[in-house]
Amino acid sequence: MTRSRIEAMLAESGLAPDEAPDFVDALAPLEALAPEPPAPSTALLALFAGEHVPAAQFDLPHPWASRRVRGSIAGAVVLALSGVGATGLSAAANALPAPWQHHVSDFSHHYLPFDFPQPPARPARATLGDGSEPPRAGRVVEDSIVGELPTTPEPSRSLPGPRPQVQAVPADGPGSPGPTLLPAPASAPPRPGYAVTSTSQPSASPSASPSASPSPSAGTTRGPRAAAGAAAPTPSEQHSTKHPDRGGPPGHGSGDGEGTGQVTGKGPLQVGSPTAKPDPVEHPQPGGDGGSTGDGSQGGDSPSAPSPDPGSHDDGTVPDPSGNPGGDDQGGGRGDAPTDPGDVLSRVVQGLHLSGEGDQPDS
Amino acid sequence: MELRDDVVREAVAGDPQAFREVYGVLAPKVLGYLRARGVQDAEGLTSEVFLGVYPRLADLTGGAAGLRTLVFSVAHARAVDETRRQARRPASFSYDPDLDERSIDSAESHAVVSLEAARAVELMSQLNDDQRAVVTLRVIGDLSLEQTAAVTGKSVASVKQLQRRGLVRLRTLMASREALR
Repeated sequence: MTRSRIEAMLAESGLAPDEAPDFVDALAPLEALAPEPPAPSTALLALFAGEHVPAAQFDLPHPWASRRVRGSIAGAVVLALSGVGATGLSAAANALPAPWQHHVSDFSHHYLPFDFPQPPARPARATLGDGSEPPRAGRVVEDSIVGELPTTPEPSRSLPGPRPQVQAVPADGPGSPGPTLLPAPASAPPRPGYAVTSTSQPSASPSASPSASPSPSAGTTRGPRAAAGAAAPTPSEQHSTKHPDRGGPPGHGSGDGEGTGQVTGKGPLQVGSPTAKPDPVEHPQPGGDGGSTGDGSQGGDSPSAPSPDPGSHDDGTVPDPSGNPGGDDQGGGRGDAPTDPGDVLSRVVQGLHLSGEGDQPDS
Repeated sequence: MELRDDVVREAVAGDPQAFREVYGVLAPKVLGYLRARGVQDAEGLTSEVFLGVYPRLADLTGGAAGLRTLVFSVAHARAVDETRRQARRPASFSYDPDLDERSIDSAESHAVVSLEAARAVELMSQLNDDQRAVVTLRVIGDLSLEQTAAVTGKSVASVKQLQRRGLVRLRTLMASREALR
């Protein structure tokens, strides 16, 4: 049988058996290497006897012994490690998509000894009316300061409407220096956020204005916060708002004329000048006591500026018709120009307390 | 002695006597194969081969031919493992006079009953591992090309090519020896 097998092998390999007759004779003795079966081992003898053989004797192959299985497992492990590594590197570089970066950062924050950075926050979309001008650093600080002051929601700050002091310019006559005394608010663009800043600094310096470009509609379309900054609530305004039944503007115009006359006589208005006396009838609030002097010149303008909306020039005593205590936002900017930020904050805090109480404490 | 399918079926069913009969038929061929591969403890490894085959009988298909393929697959894997183990760690034993058999023939010499067989083993040792495995499985194990391919884990064409190169190599060796004479 071995000879026939060897001859078949030679035929399959294309080798003629007659070319090497000794070849078959040389390989045929291989069959005689083991003429008899070897003696079985003890375990095998027990198996032949039908006895129970421990499973450890069988030397079963390991499930992962297959080359294909091992290759698949190794490939999966490499892929997993590569994915984890790439994700970690990307997360460390903060280059993952925001949701993934957020999840990875949270995971690292909770379970890992190091933290991956949080995804960068989306840049806040400007809610200002004029989005052409990016906010400057100084204004950001001021906005942040002022922004902490009131508890009034934004809409109360941005109530549109004519400001009394702006339209009150003609009332003082053409020679009135009123408009020229307020360059910054007059040139301020209709940006409520910046108007708050100008409110905190109602000085006459134009450099403090949010924008040097004069807006053609500044005198009419200026936002309430800008108007509030330009025309810090004067005692007359407070008086008018606190006594809305008086009809307001005309009566105040006469009363504020005194202040206007004083300022006009002295030349350029010094905002916050002590020469302008507050209305003796109404003691200004702590947050806006100085504003009466600065607006003394403007107060004379107010008679021709009827305020259709009491909330638009509220001083913190008259709640906004919409339910918002409108005086909060302007209370921070009311008054003369406080140069000390701590002073500003203290006044603002006092204003907040006052607005929370709803009326002036010191009457 | 040929292996019958009914015996294989009984062995698969768990009959110890049938499995003993299977052992009696296939063990000499396995032993010859392991010796031809140069395994040191061929007898002990033959028992381990059948111990490894027994748990797998339940999944056996193909009857007698399938069982032959399975047995030589396990034997081939063990032979490869043994060859690698010897390559990594050559056998070294401490001297024991009781085990000193230099005064008599070695176990392998006892197994080689004829000078022709010893010559054949020497010729086979001139082949590389793959060629020797293919030729040995076909000659001693009496396996077909397909069965040999299944045992070695190679394709039929690859086995055929290895077989051809092995035979050509053997013929060249034999011719050179004839020339030396």
